[in-house]
Amino acid sequence: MKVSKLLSLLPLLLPWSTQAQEVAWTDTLRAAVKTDTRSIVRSINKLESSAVILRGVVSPMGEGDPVRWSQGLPGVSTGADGSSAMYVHGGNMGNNLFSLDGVPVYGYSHILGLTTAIPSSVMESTSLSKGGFEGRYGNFTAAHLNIITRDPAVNKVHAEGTLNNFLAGAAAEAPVGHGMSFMASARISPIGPEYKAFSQLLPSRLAAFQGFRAGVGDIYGKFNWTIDNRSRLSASALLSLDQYGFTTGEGSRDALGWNNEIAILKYHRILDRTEMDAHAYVNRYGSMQRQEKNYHGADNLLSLNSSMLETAVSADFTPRSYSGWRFDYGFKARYGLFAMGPVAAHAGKGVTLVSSYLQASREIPGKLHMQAVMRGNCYYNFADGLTSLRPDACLSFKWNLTKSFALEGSADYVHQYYHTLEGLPLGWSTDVIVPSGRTAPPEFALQGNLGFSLAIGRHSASLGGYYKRMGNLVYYKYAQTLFTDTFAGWENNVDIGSGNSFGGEFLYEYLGRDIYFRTAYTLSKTDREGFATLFDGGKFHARFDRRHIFNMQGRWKGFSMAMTLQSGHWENGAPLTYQIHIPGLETDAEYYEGINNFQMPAVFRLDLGYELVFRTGRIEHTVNLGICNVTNHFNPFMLYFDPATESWKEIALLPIMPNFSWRVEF
Amino acid sequence: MSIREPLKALALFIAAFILCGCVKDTTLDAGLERKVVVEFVLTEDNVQNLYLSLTGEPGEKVVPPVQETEIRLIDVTKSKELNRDIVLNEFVRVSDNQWTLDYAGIPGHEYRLEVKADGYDLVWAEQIMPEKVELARAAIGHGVPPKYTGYGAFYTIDSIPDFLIIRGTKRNKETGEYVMVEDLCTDYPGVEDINATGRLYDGNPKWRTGVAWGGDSFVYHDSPVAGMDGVWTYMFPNLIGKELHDGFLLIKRVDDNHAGLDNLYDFENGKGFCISGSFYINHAYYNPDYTLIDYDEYLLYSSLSPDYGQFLKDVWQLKKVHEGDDLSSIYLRDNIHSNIQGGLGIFGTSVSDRVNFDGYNQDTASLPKIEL
Repeated sequence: MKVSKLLSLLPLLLPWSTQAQEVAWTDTLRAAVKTDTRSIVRSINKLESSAVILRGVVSPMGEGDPVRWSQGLPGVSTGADGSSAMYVHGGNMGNNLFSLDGVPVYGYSHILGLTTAIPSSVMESTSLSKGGFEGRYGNFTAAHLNIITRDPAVNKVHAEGTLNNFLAGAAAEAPVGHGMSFMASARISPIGPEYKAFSQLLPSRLAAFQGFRAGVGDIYGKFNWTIDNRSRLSASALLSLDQYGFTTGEGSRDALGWNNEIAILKYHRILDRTEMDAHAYVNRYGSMQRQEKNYHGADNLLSLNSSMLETAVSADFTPRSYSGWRFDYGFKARYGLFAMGPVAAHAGKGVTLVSSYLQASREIPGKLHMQAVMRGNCYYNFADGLTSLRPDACLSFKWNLTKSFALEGSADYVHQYYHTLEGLPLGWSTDVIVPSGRTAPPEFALQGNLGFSLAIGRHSASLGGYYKRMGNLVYYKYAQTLFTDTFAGWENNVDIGSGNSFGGEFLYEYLGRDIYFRTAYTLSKTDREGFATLFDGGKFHARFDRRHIFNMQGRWKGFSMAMTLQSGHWENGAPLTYQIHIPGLETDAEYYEGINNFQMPAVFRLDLGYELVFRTGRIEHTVNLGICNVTNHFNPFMLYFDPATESWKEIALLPIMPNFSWRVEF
Repeated sequence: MSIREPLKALALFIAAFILCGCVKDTTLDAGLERKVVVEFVLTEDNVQNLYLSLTGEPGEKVVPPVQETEIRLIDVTKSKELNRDIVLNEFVRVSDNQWTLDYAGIPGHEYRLEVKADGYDLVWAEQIMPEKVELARAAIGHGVPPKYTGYGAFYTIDSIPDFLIIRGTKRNKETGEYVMVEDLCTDYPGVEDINATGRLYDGNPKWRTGVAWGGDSFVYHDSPVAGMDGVWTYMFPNLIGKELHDGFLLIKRVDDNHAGLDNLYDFENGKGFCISGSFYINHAYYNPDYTLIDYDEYLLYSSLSPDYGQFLKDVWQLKKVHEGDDLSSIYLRDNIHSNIQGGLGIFGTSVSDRVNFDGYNQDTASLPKIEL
C-alpha cells in the first residue's frame, strides 16, 4: 500500500477520545511545558507560542525556533527537508509575511534554512495567523508569522551564552538609567571550521561535496527608553548574513547567500482616548546564487542576484477603553526598490504602497468573539505607471456553542504587491522578489476557513476545512533568460496564472501529568493553472503540494520526540526522448509533459532529544542533546546538475546526526 | 550535578558532528508512458520517407523499435471528390524505423496520415500541401549614385506562403560537387532571426568608380564581404548592415503586405527583395558574346505547411542549443511543435523549386535535380 494511502488512514487511528467529564489533575510539569500548552490559543486561525516553548521544539539545531514550531502545525506544508520554507494553505512561500515586531523580514532563514535569523534569546512570543488577519498587517496573502521581541530588562543585568552544532552566541541586557535599557545579541556559525575538521577525519564521506566554506552570523540590538509614563521609544536593528560555497567536482563551484539589514524605530504614546504605536523602518534584503561549471568544454558562469530595499512609516491607534464594539485604525506607507538579474543593483524607479485600515471587533465573554477589517491599498509603480486601488477585507469569528465546543471561521480577500517568482530553475533556490507592475498585477487571495474546536479536560482538538483561490500568481517561464537578461527585462519573461487549494486540517493535543503530546494532520490539494504559455494553461501541481502532512511531537519529562511524515513535493520531471531525422537537422529531441510532474519521495524524519537543566552557582545551564533523523532517511534538500555526468543529483542536508545545544544564563 | 558530565557530552557531540550532504543520483523519471513518434514530410518527389519510432524513457540507451504497424496516407481532397477513402500506395518498411512510399504529393491537396502501432492507440495528422509559389529573378538596372541600386540579385515572389525556406547551393570549386551556401542575407523585412550569425553583411564600404560591361562608368562599394570569397558589396549595397544567416533564410508569413515589403522595390511583376550570400558569383560562365552557357548557383526554396514550418524552426533552435556549451540550456523545457494527434513528431508538407541565384531566369524544371 502506498505511503499516501497509509497516511490518509492515520487520523482514524489517532488516540483521540472525547471524554465528557471534567478531569481533575495536578500539574507537575515544568513551567516551560505548561506555558506551551496554555499559551497556544485554540483557534483555527491563530496559534501562539512563547519563546521558551519555541526553544523546546526538537530540531537539528538542538533547540527550536518559530519556523520549526510553525512547520509542525496544521495547514502548513514545508519546503525541502531541513529548510525553513513553509507554504500555508496552498500559497507560495513569498505569500507569507514573516515579521519582526511587525516589520517584514524577507530573508528570515539562517544556516541553510535550519533556523531563523532572529535569536531566540530576544523573542517574547510568536504567533501564526492563517486567516482572519489583523488590520495593521498587509501585503501578504497566505499567513503571518509574527515575532515580538522582548523589551530589555530595566532592573537587572542579564547575560547568556549559547552553543549548538551550528551557532555560537552571546546575549546581554542591562539598564543604563533614566528609564533606558538595552540588549544585544550576536551569533556566529562555526560550521566552516567544523567542516574542515570533519573532512580531515572522514574525507571519503565528503568526496562529492568538497571545499565547503561558510560565513554565517547575525547581530541584534535593541534600545528601549521609557520617556515618561505615557511615552516609550525603542530602536532596534538586525543584521544577518548567510554565505556558503562548495564544490561538487572538478571545475564545478557553487555559492549562495543572503542577508538582511533592518533598522526599526518605534514610538509608543498614550493619548487621551487612544494609544498610538508609530513605526519607521529601513529594510534591505539581498540574495545571490552562483554556479561555475564546465559544460561541453566551456566554462559557464551562471549568476542570479536579487535585492530589495524598503522603507516605511506607520501608525496604529487602539482605543484605551471601549464598551461593545472596539475600533482600531491606522495607516502604513512604504517605498520599495527592487533589483534582479545576473547582477542586482538598485537602479531606476521604485514602488510605493500606502494602506489604511479600520478594524472592528466585538467580544462577548465566553460567548462570541468576532473581528472585521477593511483596508484600502493604494499602489503605484513609478517605473511602468501602474496604479492600483484595491480593498482588503478580513472577517473572523469564534462562537462558543458550549463551554468546551466552539465554531470558528474566517474569510479573507487580500492583496499582495510584491511577488516572489515561482518557476525558478531546478536547483536554484534564491528567492527573487519583484514588484507588481503592468505585466504582473497584484496577487490576490480569496479564502475561507470553517471548523470547530473542542477542549475537554486534558484533551483538546480542532478540525476544520479551508478553500482558497489565488489570482495573478507569477511564474517565470523562461528560466534560461534569468542568467542573461537584465532586471529591465524580467517582466517579459513571466506568465500570470491562478491557483486553487483546499483541504482539511486536524490538531490534537494531550497534556498529561508528565506527558505532552501533539499531532497535526493536513490533507490538502493545491494546483496552479491558467499560465497561458505553459502547456496551454493546463493545471499542474504547486511545487509543495504535499497531499498528506502528518506531524507528531511528544515530551515525557526531559525526553522529547518529533516526527514528520509528508508526501513528496513536486519537481519538473525528466523528459521522454526521441530522434529527429530531418536531413541536416538530425538530433535528439525531448518531450516534456508538464510542470511539476515528478513527485519526490515521501519525507520522513524522526528526531529525539533530551533536555537537562541544572545550576552551578548563579549560572543556569540548559543542555539539549538529541539525534536528528534517527532512521537516517534520505530526504533531499536540493537538486543540482552535475555537468560532468550530465545528470541530476540530490543532496540531503540532514543525515542521521547528533545535535546539542547548551545555554548558560546568569 | 557536576559540570563535567555535560561538558564531556558536549565534546563528544562536537567530535561526532556531521555536516555532510549525502549525495545520490536521481533520474526524475515522472513515469510517463511511451509515445509513438512519426516523422513524415510529403513532397513532390516520387518516393517519400516516413520515420516511426517510440520515445525513450529517462536514462534509456536503446529504445525498442515499433513492432507490427499499419500506416495509411489518405488523399482527403480526392476522397471528398469521390466520396470514399482514397488510400494511397502501401508504405514499405526498409529498416527498424524507416518506411518508404511510392507517391508524389499534389500541391493544394489535403492529406490525412494514420499510424496504428501494435500496442498503441491510433495516431494521426492532417495537412494541406501548399500551392506552388514562384520566386523569380527581377531584372534591374544598377544605375549610378544616388540612384544606384546595385547589381545584386533581386527577386520577386507572387505570394508569401505560411513558411518559406530559402537555401543556396553552389559548386565546390575543386570537386565540382554541389554544396550548400554557408551564409545567406536578405533585406526581406520578415525574415526570422533564429539562425542569425551575429555577423553583418559588410561593415565599411567605400565608394569607387568603375567601368561596367559596355563601357559605362559607375560608382560602387569596393569592400569585400567579410569572410566571403568573391562577393563584393558594390553588387548588393542594399544589404549592407543586414544580418548574415546560417545556411537558410526562413520567412514566416506575417500579413498580406509581406511584413513591410511594400516599402522596398517595385518591379513589373511584383514587390521585390534582395538576396545574397557566400556564393562565388564569378563562377558564372559566359560565351564571348555574353550569353549564359552554364550557371551553377541556385536558390532552393520550399513552401512549407504551417506545422512543418514551426517544427523546423523548433528543431533548429533545439539543435543549436544541444550543440552549444551554454549550461543554462539545461533549464529549457520547450517542446518541439507536433501535429501528431495522440503522438509526437510531424506530418508536414513541402513544395520546392529553385531559381538561378544571379542570372537570367531559366526553366529550372529542365535542369537535373541537385542532390545535396
